[in-house]
Amino acid sequence: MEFLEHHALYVVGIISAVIWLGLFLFMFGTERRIRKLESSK
Amino acid sequence: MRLFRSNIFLWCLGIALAIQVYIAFETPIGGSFSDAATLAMNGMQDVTPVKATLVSTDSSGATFTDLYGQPGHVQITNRSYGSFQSYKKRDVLVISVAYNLAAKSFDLVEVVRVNPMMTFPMIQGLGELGRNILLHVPMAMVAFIAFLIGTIYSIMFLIKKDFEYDRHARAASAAGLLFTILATVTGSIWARFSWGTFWNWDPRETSIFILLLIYAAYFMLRSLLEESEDKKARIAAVYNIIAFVSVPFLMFVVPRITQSLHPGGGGTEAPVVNLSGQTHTDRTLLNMHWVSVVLFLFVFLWIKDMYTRILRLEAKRAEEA
Repeated sequence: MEFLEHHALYVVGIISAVIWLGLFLFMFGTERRIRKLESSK
Repeated sequence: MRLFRSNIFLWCLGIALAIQVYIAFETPIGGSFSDAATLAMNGMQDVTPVKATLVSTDSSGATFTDLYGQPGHVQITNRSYGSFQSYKKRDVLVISVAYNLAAKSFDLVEVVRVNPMMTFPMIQGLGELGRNILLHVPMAMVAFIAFLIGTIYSIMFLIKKDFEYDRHARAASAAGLLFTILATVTGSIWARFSWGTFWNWDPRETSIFILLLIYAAYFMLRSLLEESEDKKARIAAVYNIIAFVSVPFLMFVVPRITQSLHPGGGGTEAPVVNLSGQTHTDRTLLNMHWVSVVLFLFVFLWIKDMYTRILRLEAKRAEEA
């Protein structure tokens, strides 16, 4: 708990960076799937 | 939009967003000596970061001028980490100081940063939580722009009767709803740590809740109607236009005419959008806030573009079937 209190900002920063990265990879994957569907039409 | 077919552009957008998040969390916050004294005297904060320029050093500490040009002497005590000996005159330091109420002097806790590229202001009562301005406020702004774009497309659909406009309107409103949810979530977490609870039924919170219901109803209406595709699209377009009429009222008027926990409530001057046309926000924070708005706007346009293409593919499939 003491570690979290002292490094709260970094912990939040890492969590948000991971969420951003996850969202971005998800959107990239969706973009790729849409392109595949568009090219197959 | 052709821009979103370019992988290079999408990677640049991703990297720019990552840099923006990094800046939002990494940029040090630095206030003035008066902030440190006021916060300590009110019992709100024992240790406050101060942005100050080194004037001279002496045996007990160093003399600084803060960002408002106010002088202050900071003492090295036995609770201080480090000293000022290695720094030069005119070095800009962000230093954590503790205000000594009895001696009315400042004690050094630690040197946070030396000559930082930029700093964010110390907003009294917010402290480190002030960083959320770069996430929460741009999300709400982009939600407003999204609903505006959706409404313009709905009007275009009613005039030109082209289903492509209906697809754009639907995608823009869906992305707008997503950004409204994100603004609500980031605001709610912020409220928990600033005001004590996740939800306070503050006028702005209440108005965003009503906005969420109005736009959720738009999608429910679309999916529940059992009319022909053309009639369904026309009813949805009319609803979308009527829904947007409430948006400026709920987002800009209600929170300003009623007492609110948010800044700008109860007739007080709002920090950015106000009747006097003046900005009451630190320039660096404001500039970074506009960078966030532009980046989130691109994310919104990307989501809208993807959803429009999905709807186009669905329409093609339905035509073929």
